[in-house]
Amino acid sequence: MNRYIFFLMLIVLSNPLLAVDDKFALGDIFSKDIEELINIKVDTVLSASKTDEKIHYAPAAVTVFNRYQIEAFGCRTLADILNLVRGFYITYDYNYHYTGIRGLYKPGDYNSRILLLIDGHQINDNIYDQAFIGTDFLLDIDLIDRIEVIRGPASSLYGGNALFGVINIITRNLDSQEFAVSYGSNDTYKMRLTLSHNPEEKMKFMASATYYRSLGADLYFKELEARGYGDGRNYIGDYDRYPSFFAKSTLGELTVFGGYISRTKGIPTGAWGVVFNDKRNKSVDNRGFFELRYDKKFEENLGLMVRFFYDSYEYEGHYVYEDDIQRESDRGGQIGAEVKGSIEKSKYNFNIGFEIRDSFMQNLTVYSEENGYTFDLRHDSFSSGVYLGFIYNLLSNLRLNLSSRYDYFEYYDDALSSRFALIYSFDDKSVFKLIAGNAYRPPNIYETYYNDNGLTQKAPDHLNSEMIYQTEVVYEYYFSEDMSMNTAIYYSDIENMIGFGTDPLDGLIVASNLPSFRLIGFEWRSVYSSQSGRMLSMNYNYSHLLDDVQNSFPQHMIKIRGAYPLFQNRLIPAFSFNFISSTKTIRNNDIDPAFFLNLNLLYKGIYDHFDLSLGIYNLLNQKYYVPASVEHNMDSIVQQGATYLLKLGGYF
Amino acid sequence: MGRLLAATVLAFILYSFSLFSLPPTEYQVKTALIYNFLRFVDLEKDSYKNNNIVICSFNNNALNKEIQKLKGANVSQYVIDFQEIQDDDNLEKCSVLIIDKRDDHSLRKILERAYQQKVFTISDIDGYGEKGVVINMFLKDDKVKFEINTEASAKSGVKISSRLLSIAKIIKSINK
Repeated sequence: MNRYIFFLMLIVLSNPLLAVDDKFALGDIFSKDIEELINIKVDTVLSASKTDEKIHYAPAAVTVFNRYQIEAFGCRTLADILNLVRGFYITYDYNYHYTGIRGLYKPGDYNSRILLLIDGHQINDNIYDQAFIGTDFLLDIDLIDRIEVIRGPASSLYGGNALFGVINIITRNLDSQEFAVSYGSNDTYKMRLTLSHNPEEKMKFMASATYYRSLGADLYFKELEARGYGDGRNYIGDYDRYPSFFAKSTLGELTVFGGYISRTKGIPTGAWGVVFNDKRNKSVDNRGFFELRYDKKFEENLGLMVRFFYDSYEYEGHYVYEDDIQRESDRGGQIGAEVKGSIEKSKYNFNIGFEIRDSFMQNLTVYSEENGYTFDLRHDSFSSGVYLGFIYNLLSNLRLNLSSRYDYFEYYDDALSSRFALIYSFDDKSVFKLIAGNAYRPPNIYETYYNDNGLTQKAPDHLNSEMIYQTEVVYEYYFSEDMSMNTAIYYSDIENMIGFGTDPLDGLIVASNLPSFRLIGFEWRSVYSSQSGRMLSMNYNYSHLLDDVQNSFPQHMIKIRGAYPLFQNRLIPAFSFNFISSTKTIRNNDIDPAFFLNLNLLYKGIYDHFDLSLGIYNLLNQKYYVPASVEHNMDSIVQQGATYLLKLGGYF
Repeated sequence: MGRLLAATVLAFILYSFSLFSLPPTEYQVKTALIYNFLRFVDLEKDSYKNNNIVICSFNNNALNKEIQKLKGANVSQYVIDFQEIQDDDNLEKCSVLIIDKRDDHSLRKILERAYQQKVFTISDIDGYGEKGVVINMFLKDDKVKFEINTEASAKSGVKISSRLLSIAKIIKSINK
């Protein structure tokens, strides 16, 4: 045995790489022709230059999460990514993933107050306004180049939905053929195949297909056991599967892109009072879109962007009751167009745009096997908006950023939203931002009209649009190219926030406008990230409600993550750690503080064509709970214990 | 048995690293490109300092760590030297100046001095080619490409070979 280990040590120590000299690597490059050099694919990990300027002068507190981090931290879904970003609180009710942001979380809001974009195209549907961030998100995580998280109200640029922030996902431009297969806990597997053709100065094309299937976890809900739902165990209902597609093609200034997902998820929690242990309870979400965009920069710094888009959304809900089966069937369809013109000068930058949306279909139906159609809404609506943006460089280091947008809605009051930002850079190292703005969100179709004829939910008499006013101060300091720190303090005033509650008179779930309330919050982040991929990021988020309203956002959150590439970026071990302070359920009970630790080991460039990674999530198997939304019989929902995922990717 | 297995796996992983060729980092490729630029340009006679090509770069530039490895390398009869400089240092000693990210005002000032002293300017910051740097490198589809500002090269007295011009993106200054 000892001799064997000695032999192994000999192999290891004789490995030339362990004593690698950088000059050796550089020397190899020196022998290449200049034509070869410009075609070498380089590791652009954390190359801040791409987005640096943008973050520096953005009129908001921005986080950019790039592909290197997605891989290094083993992120499986968009929810996994947001879990690492400051100010986001992620929960999962085994049907959908939800996120609270910056001090506000309403369980069960379908993330309708966050605008989710893929390459600038809105993903929120036109019935629930839902931002899909879990396995229901239509883009495979492997196709993401980077994610820009823009905090704060942004309706003045994007219209409704951008109440608390915007998540813009920028897709990759591939020039290789790729595949990925993964297998993990709960009998979860996923396959992806991506083909691309990316010649210089010609039509570029990329198409990708993914299939995912998970048998689901063996779940145990102690509150359900206490309430007499059998033994509180559900071993069959947590299944999850989807096929998804995405394609993109570019020819000069013209881009066509679109995608589709059909995701089926079992509802294992007995939500809406269904029979708990029946695997026929499920949600099916089909989301598709298509966009044609022309984006041209003319001489004299003039720009023109024109886009046309089509969106579809279908929801099929199956709910099994003791004496009935209900099928909810919702259909959404939308077409729209936007035109934007811009002028960029060294002193100022101006843009103006106009957008129309025809939601030609926003239908909601509920069919009961006992009673036939109990609810049948055929609805359509029209909205349009005009917006202006103006950036003016008052001094070489002082920038004024103004934007304003006016929206017309067929069924709700018109809305005006504006943002004012002053960005001052003391020297090359520090940036100070003062931002004030408002944003609104009109009630969605689901909140306004949904009722299932007295079974679980009814429609409200009247709902007003939500409105947020926020003032924010941001300070960023760059110690060096590798190290920076930023802090933000924000104050928000939220009016007419829509929440779901139970009407005590009939026990039915109903949406209503909440009294206005105020919130203050503080964010701090410190990050070291070197060109070689070493990184350590720590952030802290504090928020405090100044008025007494129900809110399920934890007051303190600490997130730490780090990666340390070894062997010339070949092997990248990474960890992430989250601490979440105690929070309140919707019935105002306390949920204990929680923490979890994830580890990931990424092994890149095996035989120049393969990557292998192993992720372990919630390594310490912490039992932690999140607040449940009103349709649940329990007050809080236990989150997944320790799970793993093994993934192999190939590129040719 | 478990330990033996672990040791085998570890040994395999470590050993397997030696089987693969190393992927160059972005900065290594940029440095190799800079070396090639020097091979394919002719500077004004006075720009060669005692038969040396002196590459100057402002301190704190992340590229410096790689570039200083060029020190001592030969380009035809010249030997490459490397010096880290401060913002207000005289550019008289420099043949080549690597420009880092800075505000427009200070960039303009430095470029004016560089044109005057006939110093060959190189950068790797988006938009700096159009702002007047002779050769600017940029990333496209994870590859390092470069653009040449022919007006700036004329002002700096840098003669660029057709081989470089044929693979570069040719741009002009944008007057502001």
